[in-house]
Amino acid sequence: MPIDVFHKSCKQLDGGNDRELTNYIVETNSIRALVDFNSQASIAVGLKGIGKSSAYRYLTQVDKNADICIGINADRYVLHLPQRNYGASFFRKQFERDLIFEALREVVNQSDAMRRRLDASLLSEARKTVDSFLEKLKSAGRKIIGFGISIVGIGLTLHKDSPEEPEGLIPEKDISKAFDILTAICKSGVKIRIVIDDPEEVFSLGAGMDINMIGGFCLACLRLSSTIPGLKIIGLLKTHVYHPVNKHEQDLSKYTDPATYLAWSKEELKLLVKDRLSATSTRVDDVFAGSNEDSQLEVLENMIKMVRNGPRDLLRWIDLTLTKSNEQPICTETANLALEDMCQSSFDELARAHSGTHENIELMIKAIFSKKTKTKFTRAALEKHLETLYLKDITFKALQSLEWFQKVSSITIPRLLFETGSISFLWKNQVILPYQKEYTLKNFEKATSIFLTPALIPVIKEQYIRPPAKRSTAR
Amino acid sequence: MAPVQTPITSSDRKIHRVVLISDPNYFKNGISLAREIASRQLNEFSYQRDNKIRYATPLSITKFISYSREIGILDEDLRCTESKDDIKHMDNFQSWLKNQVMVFLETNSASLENIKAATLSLFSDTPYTLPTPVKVHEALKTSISLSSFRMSLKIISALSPKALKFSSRKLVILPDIIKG
Repeated sequence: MPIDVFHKSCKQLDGGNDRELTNYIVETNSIRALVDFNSQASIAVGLKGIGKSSAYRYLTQVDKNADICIGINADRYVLHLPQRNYGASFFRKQFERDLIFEALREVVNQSDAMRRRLDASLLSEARKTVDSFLEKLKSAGRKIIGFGISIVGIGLTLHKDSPEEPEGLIPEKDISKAFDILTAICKSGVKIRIVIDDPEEVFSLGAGMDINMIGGFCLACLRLSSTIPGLKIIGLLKTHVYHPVNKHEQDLSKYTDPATYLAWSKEELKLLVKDRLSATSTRVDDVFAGSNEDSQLEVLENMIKMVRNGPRDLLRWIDLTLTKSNEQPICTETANLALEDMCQSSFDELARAHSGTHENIELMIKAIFSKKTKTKFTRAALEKHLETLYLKDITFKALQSLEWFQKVSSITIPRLLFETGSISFLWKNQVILPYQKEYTLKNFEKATSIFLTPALIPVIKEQYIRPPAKRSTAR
Repeated sequence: MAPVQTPITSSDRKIHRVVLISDPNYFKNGISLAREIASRQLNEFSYQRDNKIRYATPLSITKFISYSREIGILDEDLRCTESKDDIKHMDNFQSWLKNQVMVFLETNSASLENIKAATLSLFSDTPYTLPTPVKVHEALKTSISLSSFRMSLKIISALSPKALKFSSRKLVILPDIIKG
């Protein structure tokens, strides 16, 4: 039955492991901006579940716009960076040189194909530079872990007892020479793309996030991509990783739009489902109930209006509904049966994503909205509500012992709620949900009303415990 | 919830007293309120000198009244901006006060992030500059007065010690060691 196959495809919630993904991957507008070598988009940021891993696969496996494409993610590369208290500018320099050498190494690896595109002397210069760098690495030899996998991060990949400081590994003149060679290669028309998924996982071992390292990484991506035409370094970051870095790293403000948000339009989400239907030879009416295609798609459109992070919530909801209804076509009633489960998963995902930086953030969200699940706040009204919670709410007082909570206030919490995708807002008379491209800080600041993201309403409602009724004295 | 165990003479407890006693029906201005507080010889406004317990003068109490107005917990008429029943309990008051102080700093270009950035910038100055409240206040270019800025830091460090640590000890400088 085709619906079985379609249902199975909806269970594939991790784009990184979905073997069939290339059959139904959607080229969204934000992915198009990343693919375009003329666009400034270099740092791509998205909520957990928005399709970052799918974007990674699209950029490294599907799109053929680049002549050389290098993908780096935590599954393929394990790098061991020592925990050191370096500043962001140190990390930027280090990442820049490593990325330059990584690009040159790949040019040399593909020298057969490159021979037709590049001047022989340029290729030979590239080879000499890479050989000399690898020679230096070999001399550092036994101290290096992960050698042979990738040279990205290798300058930092030294044992903690290594007397050799990583910045001393390659002389500055060699770096600038490598930079010039790579620039010349790209100017000859060779397009090179390096994509790094979840850099905080690729480059760090510890559970805590090194903000300076990620800040340095972002600056390296932006700087190299903007100074060498034809070279594009793309970093794919989760929002909860990017936002603290953006607040901390002042040099990022030198770029007008340092981050591109991975986002979906409602049409693109519809396409996500339609493409899966086509790829699994399933008809729309096999999955959605209705007298005609328009009414069948209306069921899907209504689901799209409810989800928080876009594709993952939507596919999970379809999967849960089909499971509950024994693969009967989905109608509003059956979708509602699985709504709470989908919402709970979305809320759990939100809490998990932020547990490292904002422990127990879910308790704060519940406290804010427990009796206000459908309230439309103005920004001022929300701030006033938060002030009152500071004064009266027991959860707010309990959270005071947490470091992150001690650093926020009634005027900074709304932004935190925005960053986590727990609130949606009305902007230009449109409801803006966290997965949409209009979900930006700029638009949020101009929002006419702010409210709990629809996907979280059932979860918060469920958590609200009605105070016990007063006992009647009448006998 | 138990309140944060701050010393009896700490700023949060002084301000708590000011706000509880304040009443626009009885006090027409800050100095009359300050005189009343001084006359009550409260523990919050006491200190020891020459082995004797002394009490703050009305003039020094007006500093806390002005500050309470500045951060918006008392209005111009010396009326508490929240119900006194709600702020009576110390834990409620501390939580509210901490938020009001944070909001006051944030809306005057002196957020914790700005303070951190200013501190780091002073550390990296040549010659190296110690980030004393005066220096940080200068670096922030905030419209908050130095005394209100200092008071805000004291309150935040007492109520949110994980967010900010504030030391008022004199500097001890030894060869190769700098203690703040």
